[in-house]
Amino acid sequence: MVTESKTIDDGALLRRYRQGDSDAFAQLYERHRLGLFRFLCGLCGDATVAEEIFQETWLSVVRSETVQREAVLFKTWLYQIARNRLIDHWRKQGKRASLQEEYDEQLHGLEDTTPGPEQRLHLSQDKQRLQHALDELPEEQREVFLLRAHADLELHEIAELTRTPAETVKSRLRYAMQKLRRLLVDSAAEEVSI
Amino acid sequence: MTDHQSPADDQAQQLLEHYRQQHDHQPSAAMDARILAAASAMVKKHESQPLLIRVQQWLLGGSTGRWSIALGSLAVVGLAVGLVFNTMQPTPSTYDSPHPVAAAPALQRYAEPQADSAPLQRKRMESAPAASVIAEMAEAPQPVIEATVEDKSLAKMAPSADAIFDELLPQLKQVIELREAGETEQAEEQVKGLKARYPGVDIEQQLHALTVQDK
Repeated sequence: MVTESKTIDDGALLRRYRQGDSDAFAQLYERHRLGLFRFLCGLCGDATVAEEIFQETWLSVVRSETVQREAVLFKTWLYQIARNRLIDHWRKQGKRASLQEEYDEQLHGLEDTTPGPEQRLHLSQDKQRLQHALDELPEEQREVFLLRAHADLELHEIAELTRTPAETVKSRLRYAMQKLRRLLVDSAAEEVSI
Repeated sequence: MTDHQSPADDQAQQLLEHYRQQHDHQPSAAMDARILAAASAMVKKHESQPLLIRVQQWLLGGSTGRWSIALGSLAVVGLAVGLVFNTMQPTPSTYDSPHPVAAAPALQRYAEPQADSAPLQRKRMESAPAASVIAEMAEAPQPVIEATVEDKSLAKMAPSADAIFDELLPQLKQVIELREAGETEQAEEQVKGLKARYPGVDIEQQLHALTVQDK
């Protein structure tokens, strides 16, 4: 319910901005700036690139004439723009990630040696290790995880944004969680976790 | 809150929360300022736009793509229909005569080949309107002749056989009358004049046809 009213507020804020209210944009920006920035940082692993894409994304919102349609949430639209900008950036860099998931799919058949669900995880707090664990994920899984973590999007919203079947999104998230747990818990075995 | 969640869901939530807390990147103050400034600038830019454009944007809700295409298509269709109707105006019966029945020199009206004139003569025997045209020619024969000689291209234009006949008929009758009255010389002078004015008309044949008809 709270999420619903927040979503409606995003659309209203955008409409008000289109009608000339700069403060409405400032509210929208404040609401989504951290999530979007952290999503980009986690996804590309490069703060410079993340800043560039972040700026391009918001400027696209500013310049666009679009007002929120009922079927598309502002947050989904915002992250869609960011995602497209990043893909364009990677294409220019000649980056290819399509094979990674195939390979990693094989690992998912291995027995999960992480602690059972009844045990609370002791996860590493080392930021480098956190980013490294993210980097170990195939791009599609990393994206889904970060959209869930930082954008706080539901699975069906992620499916719509990435134009992927909901079941595929669910699988990717599950695999991402398993691998991150494995990597972070393994790392935590060498540290004193709080 | 977590009572209804499975342990696996709990772990997943824990992992998500962990990342949210540990990932503390944020954009710089300069970045924030740039973006907010761009947003304000765009508002000012829109405020300076003409009222008509702002009303259009308000009406179309910002999504001009589909509607502008639809309106543009409608405008093109309207233009096309207008052009079609404009080009359907009837063309004038005579090419170069703005007033077909006006007192314009008859030099613009040349007969079609003589074979058509005989049957038409029968139709036009009683034609009264022709008298006005003939009278006009009688009043100014010289200019007509000069124009006839100078502008041969007029002969190629589509003349009205009826109009030519209307002009000729009284004069042909006059020639016949002169011949019957024995005024041969005067008759031949008139025939000569008619031949000069109507080079495309076989005057002798017309006279013969009239003579035969009368009999």
